[in-house]
Amino acid sequence: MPENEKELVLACKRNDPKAQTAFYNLYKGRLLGVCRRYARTVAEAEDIFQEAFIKIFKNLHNLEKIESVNYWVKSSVIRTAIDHYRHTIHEREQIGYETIMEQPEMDSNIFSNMSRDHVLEIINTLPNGYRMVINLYLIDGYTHAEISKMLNISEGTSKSQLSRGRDLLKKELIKLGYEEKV
Amino acid sequence: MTNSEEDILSRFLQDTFSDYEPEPSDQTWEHIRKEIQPQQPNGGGVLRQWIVPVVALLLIIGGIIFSGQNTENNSELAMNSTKGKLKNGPQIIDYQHINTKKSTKQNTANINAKSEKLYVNKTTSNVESKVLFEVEKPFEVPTFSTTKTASIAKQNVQEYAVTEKEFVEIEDKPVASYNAIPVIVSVYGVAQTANGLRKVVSLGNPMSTDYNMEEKSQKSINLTNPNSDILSVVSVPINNSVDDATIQEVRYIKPLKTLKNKDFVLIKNQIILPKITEININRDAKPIRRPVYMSVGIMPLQTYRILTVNSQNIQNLQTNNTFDSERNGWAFDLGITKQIGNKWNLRGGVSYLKMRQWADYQVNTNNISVKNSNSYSNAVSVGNNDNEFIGQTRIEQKTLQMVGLRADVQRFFKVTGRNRYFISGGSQLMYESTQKQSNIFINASVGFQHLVNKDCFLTIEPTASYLLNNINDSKSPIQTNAYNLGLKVGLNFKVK
Repeated sequence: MPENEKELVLACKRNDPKAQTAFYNLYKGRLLGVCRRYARTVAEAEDIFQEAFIKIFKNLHNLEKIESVNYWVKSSVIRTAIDHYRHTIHEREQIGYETIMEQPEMDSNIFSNMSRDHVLEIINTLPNGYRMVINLYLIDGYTHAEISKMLNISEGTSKSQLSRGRDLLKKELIKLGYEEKV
Repeated sequence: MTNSEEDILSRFLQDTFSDYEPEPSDQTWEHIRKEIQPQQPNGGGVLRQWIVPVVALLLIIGGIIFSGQNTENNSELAMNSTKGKLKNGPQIIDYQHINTKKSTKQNTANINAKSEKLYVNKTTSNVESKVLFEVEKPFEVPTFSTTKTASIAKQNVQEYAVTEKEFVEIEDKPVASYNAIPVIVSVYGVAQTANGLRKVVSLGNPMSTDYNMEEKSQKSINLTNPNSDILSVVSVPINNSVDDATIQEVRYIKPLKTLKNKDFVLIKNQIILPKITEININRDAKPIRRPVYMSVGIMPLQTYRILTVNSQNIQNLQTNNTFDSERNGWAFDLGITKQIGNKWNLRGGVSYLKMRQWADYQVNTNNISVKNSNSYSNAVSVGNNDNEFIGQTRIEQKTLQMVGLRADVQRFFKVTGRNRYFISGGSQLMYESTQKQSNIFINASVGFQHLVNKDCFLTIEPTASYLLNNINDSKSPIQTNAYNLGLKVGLNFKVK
């Protein structure tokens, strides 16, 4: 960890406004990328991102190992996304126009030029449980035991959701030329 | 899927998002910053904008007043003339003019204001008092106006003189050589009230002619009594024997080192600090955007009737088929749809309605009054169209065209993909021009919305509307309540 980054964290612990701004600018891109993967929509990702950063700044003084700040901030964002998922899962039936309209539109005619945005769209359109497990297991590297604790589900459920989500994901990726990439 | 395939997929996804760093919106950091740095003024509420300058203004005013008092005190000290030098003698100030030019009350107030920089001492033990009394020397009483006052002054010095050692040493010098004598002008003490609280009290000005020094001193100097205590003594000389240097020295000889009671300071300087009981800072809430849509709809409908016969002359009424061209009509709507909640929409606008009204019946009397101007008869009439014979069939029919206003609310109960299912209820106020009659409908519908794109959705809703009032004139033998059943198809475009 660079020394200046360590000093930056220490300054943030002292609630130095300039350091907090610098800290935000340092991590905003990476963390919003994580949020975009876990959320269904851009607006939802921004909400998670904002909530996560507030938690990070308010709890930064509890961080003992400054060297692990990268892992810590990322896990904070993921846990915030999971909390958001839990709170909103019961409200899925009540979403308004904005939410519906921000659902990414699948373009089934794209078979070749697979970009990151297309992959992200596919992940976003996965059912909530699948999307969570796919993100946690395949991208962020959590184990089924960890996922079961984080999502408050059994390991078996985690494995089955991964299996189904992975099949669904692969099916959509193949439409975009995933096999050629492999 | 095998583990290798899973690893490939995992690696593919990780590679895809390894350098994915989208840019958040500009407002995001502002929201976060307001949450984590609430103390920083950043265009907050009105209270937040005003509180800092108001507090600053109060502090400035307080500072000016306080410094003004100090300046006045210093001026008074400087105005005192000096006639001799005090090199090693007691630091005493000539306040003789207090007794001659100003009232005693005013002088006491002035001295009170100055006392914190002059002689403020606190008797803390009997031991110190004894030491003090041992070093006391008899004072000469020079130029004093009355014998009584002089004796009081002497008594005061002997009994109230300050107790700290350094001052005692000063007092130990021959007083006569300085041609001055300290005189007590104000005495403060601490008294304990009945409820156990200790408070600062003024024991009065011993220079005053009505001051019973003996009585006061007996009460206040009783050091064996734990409930009373001498807090401060202010002594002044009678002669003019102090130069400016001495005045400056006096000002610094007794700083506030023995002044430990915060309340005492506040009372003496009469500084009232502003009290701010509570500061509420409104938390910025993320605004909820509720869109508005312009809606256009058309509804083919069939009109059904509930007929009520008011005349016994009518033998029977003919009924139509369930789906009959005679029932056909249509409606057109133009309005707005406003989202008022996650599950609620409000719709309103203007409507045009075209529907059919008809009656096919037989009469069994010779005369029947026909009120409807559009009616015609295939019966044989005798000189007057309003008279019909028994057994003849009569058909009344007309087309009603109405315009009016409508309003209803939608409640969504299910969302699947791009579709939202809802129920709706409302009413219409429609005006029919030929009969000049206002009609009120109540509407109910169940349908769904299908999202076409970001700014447009399609609505399909089977609708029923019931006419609360009769279509016919009240004198008509047949009263008709109509209800329409239709399929409304609408398009909604986002306008806001």
